[in-house]
Amino acid sequence: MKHKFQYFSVGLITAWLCLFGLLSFLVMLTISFLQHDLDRIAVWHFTLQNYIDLFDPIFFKIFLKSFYIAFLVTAGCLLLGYPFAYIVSRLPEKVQNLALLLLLLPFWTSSVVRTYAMMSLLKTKGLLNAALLSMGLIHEPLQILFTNTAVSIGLIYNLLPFMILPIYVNLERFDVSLIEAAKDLGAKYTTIFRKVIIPLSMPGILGGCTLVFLPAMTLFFISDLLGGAKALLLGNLIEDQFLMANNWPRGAATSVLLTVLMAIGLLLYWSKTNKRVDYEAVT
Amino acid sequence: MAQKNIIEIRNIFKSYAGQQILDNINLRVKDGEFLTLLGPSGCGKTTLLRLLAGLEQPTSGQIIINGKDAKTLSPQERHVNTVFQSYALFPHMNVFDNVAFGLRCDGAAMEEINQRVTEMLRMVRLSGYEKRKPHELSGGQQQRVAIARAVVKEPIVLLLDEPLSSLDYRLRKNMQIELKQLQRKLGIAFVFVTHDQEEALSMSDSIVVLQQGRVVQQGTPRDIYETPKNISVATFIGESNIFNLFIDEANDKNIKVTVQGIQYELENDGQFKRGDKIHLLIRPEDTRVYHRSEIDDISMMFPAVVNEVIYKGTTVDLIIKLPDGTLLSVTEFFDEDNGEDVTYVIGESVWVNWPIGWEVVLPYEA
Repeated sequence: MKHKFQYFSVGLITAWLCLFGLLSFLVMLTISFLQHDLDRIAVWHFTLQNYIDLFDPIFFKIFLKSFYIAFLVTAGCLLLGYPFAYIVSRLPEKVQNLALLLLLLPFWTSSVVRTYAMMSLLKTKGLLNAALLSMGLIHEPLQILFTNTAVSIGLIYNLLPFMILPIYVNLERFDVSLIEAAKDLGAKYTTIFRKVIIPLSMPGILGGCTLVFLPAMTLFFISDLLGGAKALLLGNLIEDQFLMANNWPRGAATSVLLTVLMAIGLLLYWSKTNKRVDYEAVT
Repeated sequence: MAQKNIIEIRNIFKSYAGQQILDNINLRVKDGEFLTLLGPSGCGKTTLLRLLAGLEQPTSGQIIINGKDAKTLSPQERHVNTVFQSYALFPHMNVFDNVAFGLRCDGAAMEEINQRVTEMLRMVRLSGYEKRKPHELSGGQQQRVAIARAVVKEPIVLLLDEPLSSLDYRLRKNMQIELKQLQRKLGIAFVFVTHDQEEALSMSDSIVVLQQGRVVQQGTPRDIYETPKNISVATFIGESNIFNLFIDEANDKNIKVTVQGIQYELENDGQFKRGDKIHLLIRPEDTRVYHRSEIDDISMMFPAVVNEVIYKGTTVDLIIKLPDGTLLSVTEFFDEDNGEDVTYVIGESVWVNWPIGWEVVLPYEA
C-alpha cells in the first residue's frame, strides 16, 4: 500500500516534469536548430545560424549586463537575506513562524501588482523622493525609476524570500553545540562565524543563490516595468525574440544557451561538493 | 601531598525562566583528581558543567578557577575545555583541523600546531586519521577526536559531559578504562558528568551526588556506596533491600530494631532515639542466604522462599520472598574456597541474615 503510493507520487511528478519540463525543453532545443521563417514558427531545415547569431556584440552586451545585474541582485539578496535568516533561526519557535509568515505575506499578491506599486514609490514624484525632499536630504528628485538601480531594487525585493528560505532551513537545523564547542576552544565570535557558521550554511547559501540568480536574469516584466526601454535583461531578449521579432528559433537558441550555462555552473558546484574521500588511502 | 583546589564553586545559584536549576552549590575540585557529577537527568549536573565551561553565567555565586574569579577570565585564560555529549566535532573539517582549531584560535605558530596536533593524535591512537572527516570515523574514534581537540589546549581541568552515553556497552567499558588512563597520564583534573552510577563508581576519585540542584553527598566511590547520606543517594547508587522500621530501644551506642520478628542490636551512629522511624538498608551482596540443611543455629535468622534465580556468570542473583510478601534481592558470589553450595531452586525454603554492622541505618524519609 505504502509502496504503491510512493510509486504513484514519484511517477506523477516524473510524468509532470517530463511533459512540461523535459518535453518542452526538447521542443525548444529542436526549434533552436531550425531555420527562421516569418510566416511559420520555423522551417524544417537544420542550421547552426541561430547560435552563430548570438555571438553578435549586441547580444553579448546584453548577456554580460544581465549577468552583472543578476550578480548584483544575488549579492544584495545574500547581504540582506543571510542576517535575516540567521536572526529568525535564533528566535523562539513561535516568533519564527510569525516572522516567516510576515515574510511570505506580500507574496499572496501578484508580483506584477507589487511591481506597479514599486513604480509609484520610485517615480520622480513618488513617495521615496517626496520623503527624501521633505527631510531635506536631497534638493532635486532622484531619477531612480527606469534605471538599472530600479530594476535591481525590484528584483531584490521579489527574489529575497528565495534567498532567505533555503538559508533559514539550513540555519534552523544548525547544531548549537558546534558554536559552543568553538567558543569553548577560545574562538572569537567573528572566527566562529567565518570558520563554522558560514561554511556549514554553505549548502543553504548556494541553494539560495541558485534560486535567485537564474530568475534575476529572466524576470522580464520587472525590467519592462521598472527599467523602461533602457534595461534589457536576458529574459527581455528572449521575450522580444519570441513575441516582437517573431523569431522563435533564435529565441529558442538564447534560452538553450542560458540553460547550458546554468547547467555548467551547477555541475561545477556539484563536482566541488561531492568529492569522494579515499577511504583506503588512510588505513 | 596536599592537593590544591583547582576549582572552587562558592554558593552558586542558577535559575532559568523562574525555575531554580542549581540551589546553593559549594564544591571543590582538587588538582589532578577525577571528579564525577552524578545524578538523575534534570538534577542540574550539566548546567553546573556549563557554568564551569563559561557557556552560561550563574545567577549568583562565585567560581574560582586556579585562584582567580572566573568572571574576570577570558575564555583563553580560563584553561578549561569541554568534551561535549554529542562530541560537537566540526563536520566540515578533517580530524587534524578539528584538533588544531583551538590552537589556531590562540594564534599558535604553524610549526607548533603541527607538532602538538600530531603528538595529541598519537596519544589518542589516531595517527594516520588526520585527513578523515568526522563522519568517516566510528563512534569511539569520534570520541577520541573530541577528547584530543579539548586536551590539546592543555587545560588545567577537562570537562566531560556524558561523553560515553552514546556508545554501546562494550565500547563504553573500553573507553572508561582509556579515559581513566588518559587522565592519569595527563595528570589534570577531569570533571565528568554522568547519570550512570556504575560508571561513576568505577572511574572516579571523588563523586558528587546532585539531586534537584543540590549537592546531596560528596565522597569517594566507597564512601558513597557504603555510607550513603540519605535514602535517595542509597537507592540511586546500587541496589538495596530496604526495611522501614521503628527503633525499639536506643542508647548512645546502640539501637535495637526488630526485623521479621527478630530483634537485632545495631550501632547507633545517627543519634537515633527510641521510636524514631528509620530505613534499614542491606545491599544484595551483603544479604546472605543459607540452605535449610546448612544451618543449625537459626536464632538470628529469618525464613524466606526462593522466588527467582538469575545466573549471571560471576554471581547468582536471587529474589527471595519473606513470609509477609516482601521481596529481597540477593547476590551470591561463586567462591571455590568456602565450598558453599550456591545452587538454589525456585520454591526452596532458605534462611536469611546479614553480617551485623554492614547495614546502613538512615532516618526515614517519606
